[in-house]
Amino acid sequence: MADEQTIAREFKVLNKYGIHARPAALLVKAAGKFACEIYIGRKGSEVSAKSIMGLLTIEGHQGSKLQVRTIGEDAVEAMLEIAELFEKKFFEE
Amino acid sequence: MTEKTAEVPGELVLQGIGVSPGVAVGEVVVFAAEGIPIPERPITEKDVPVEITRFEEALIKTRHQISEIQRRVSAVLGEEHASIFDAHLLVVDDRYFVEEVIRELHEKHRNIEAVVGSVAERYMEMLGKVEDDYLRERTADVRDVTRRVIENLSGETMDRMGQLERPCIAVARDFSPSDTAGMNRNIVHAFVTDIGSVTSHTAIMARALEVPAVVGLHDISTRVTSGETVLVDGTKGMVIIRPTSERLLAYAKKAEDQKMILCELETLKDKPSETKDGYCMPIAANIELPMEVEGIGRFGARGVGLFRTEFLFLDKDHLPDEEEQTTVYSDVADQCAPDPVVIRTLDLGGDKFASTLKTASELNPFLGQRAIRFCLAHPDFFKVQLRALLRAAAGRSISIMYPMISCVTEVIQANGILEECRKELKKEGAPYAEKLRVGAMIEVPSAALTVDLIAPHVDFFSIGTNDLIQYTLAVDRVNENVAYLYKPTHVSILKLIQQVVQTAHDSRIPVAVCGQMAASPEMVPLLIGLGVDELSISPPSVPMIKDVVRSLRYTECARLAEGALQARTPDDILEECCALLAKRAPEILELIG
Repeated sequence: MADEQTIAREFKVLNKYGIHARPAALLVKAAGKFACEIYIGRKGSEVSAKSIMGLLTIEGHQGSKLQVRTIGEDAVEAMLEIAELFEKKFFEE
Repeated sequence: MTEKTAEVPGELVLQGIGVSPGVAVGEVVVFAAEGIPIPERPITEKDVPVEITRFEEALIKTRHQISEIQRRVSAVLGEEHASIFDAHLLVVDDRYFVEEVIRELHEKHRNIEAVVGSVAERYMEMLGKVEDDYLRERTADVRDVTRRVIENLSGETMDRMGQLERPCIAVARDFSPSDTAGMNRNIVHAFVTDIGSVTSHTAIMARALEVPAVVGLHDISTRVTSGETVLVDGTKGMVIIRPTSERLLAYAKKAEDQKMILCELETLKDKPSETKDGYCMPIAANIELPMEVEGIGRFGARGVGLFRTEFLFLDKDHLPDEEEQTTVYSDVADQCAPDPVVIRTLDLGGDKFASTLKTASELNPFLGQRAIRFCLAHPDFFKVQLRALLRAAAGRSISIMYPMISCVTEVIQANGILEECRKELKKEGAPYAEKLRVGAMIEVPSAALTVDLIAPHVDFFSIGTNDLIQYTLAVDRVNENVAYLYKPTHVSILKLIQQVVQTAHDSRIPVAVCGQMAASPEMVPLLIGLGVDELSISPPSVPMIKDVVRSLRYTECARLAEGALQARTPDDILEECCALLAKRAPEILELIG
């Protein structure tokens, strides 16, 4: 019984230097722990949060708003973990 | 800088920027520019599985190499410098990137090297369009990793430096962090690059490894071919392609003589740095990497007179936090104990920019928001460093100094922020230094002329001669059209130094000199004569300068300085300085000649 659920939330990039290599690496590492699909980006240009190359190209500078979607069995847990990263400013300040 | 002279038949003399001293002769190995030629050929559908296997093997090999480099960099330069390779590893592990490559392999039916190259190129193009300087620079990381994958696929050079077996001179357009991380100084005897400056990655690594290096030679990587002989003079910033046998002989003889003199000088290591008639001129070390601390004792310096902290902030993908900085500062001070360490607060701007810091692009950066100006404009950021310094100074002999002070207000403001940090730490109950010696760098004429106003707020002064000369004479010394105007012996400079020393001494405050002038043997008698209290120079220069100090008399230096202050041309003064040096320490002239 595949429990296919989709969760979507919007986050504001709070840390000063945006989604640069280090936060991107944290996102990839966090996303990699979950089975569900995780997408991040804006309307029309989403990338997988499991891809560092993709994440680097989303232009997540400070103050920008990014949509995160998690799809799959562990979507709830994944969203919680991603939310924590955004809220804690990727542990940068 | 470009080449100045050529014309000795057969040999070609190029002038660049010497960023790490020393001379090396050897065969060139030219490292191809980042865009190595990627082999391209069509394949059929039945070749696809073979290509995929090759790709997977190359990825495993690449991952292994990057981990290995990370381990090495971490061992040599510390963990924080190794963290950049975390992102590199994730590129290799990027499933989406890998899948995209495999999809394209099926669609385009081209060999895997070509497909990897084109997919990576697409990402780099996207990154290049990003409206953020920092993110845009990450293209270099993607390029570094994909180059490695492609090299592993074509089975050619992998770890470019690590693969070298015979001693050589490494030449390239520029070297990436993973290049220099893999190098062995017994194999690579010198670095030579087309681009770069004193603060570029190659320069910093070369100095830390004590390997001669010349950068900024424009197109040397296309002018020489592997196997040709070159002579690299990192002291003079000169590279000689196909040197004549006379030239080599002259250098060899000079090297032999210099070696003997240096051996001789080594015996001075534990002797005090004072003139024949007892004028003490302690010599401290200028360092920029924690690993350089080791050289301080070896060369006989006393403590650190200038620890540049910029390297902590350059070439990194994150800003070092308070803990990280506290650890670095504490470690350096512990290794130098009981000798003191003077740590300069962040001196970014001008020609130095941190990739992680947003610095506005300015039309005239040397007159812009650099050093203390930048820190005062970003107090939250400045506080991280000050708190780390206060914590590290608890129970350790650490002083701090502010760079680029142009007005007493800046010192008062900076001290105010320092006091705030102290209160915060007290409230938090963290150990910190109740007393911390604070100094101001004198490198702007306006500060030199108002030392009396600044003196009540500081414990010491340190004259940064490079900037003081540049700002006083309005000369950019790396601009070859005006470099001839850059004269440390210009009377204005000597008058400023004299005024700083006298005024400071009236308030019983010591004055150090930490610029290039302090490391120039012919300038040392002048500095002694002007009454400077301490010199701070790069560790390898210490034996030479100590020898000069020990061979002079204070009285003759004082006479020299007095004469120099009677307005005359810079060249006259320089001539007198050299004459005195030739009389007292001829062996040193041999060394620098």
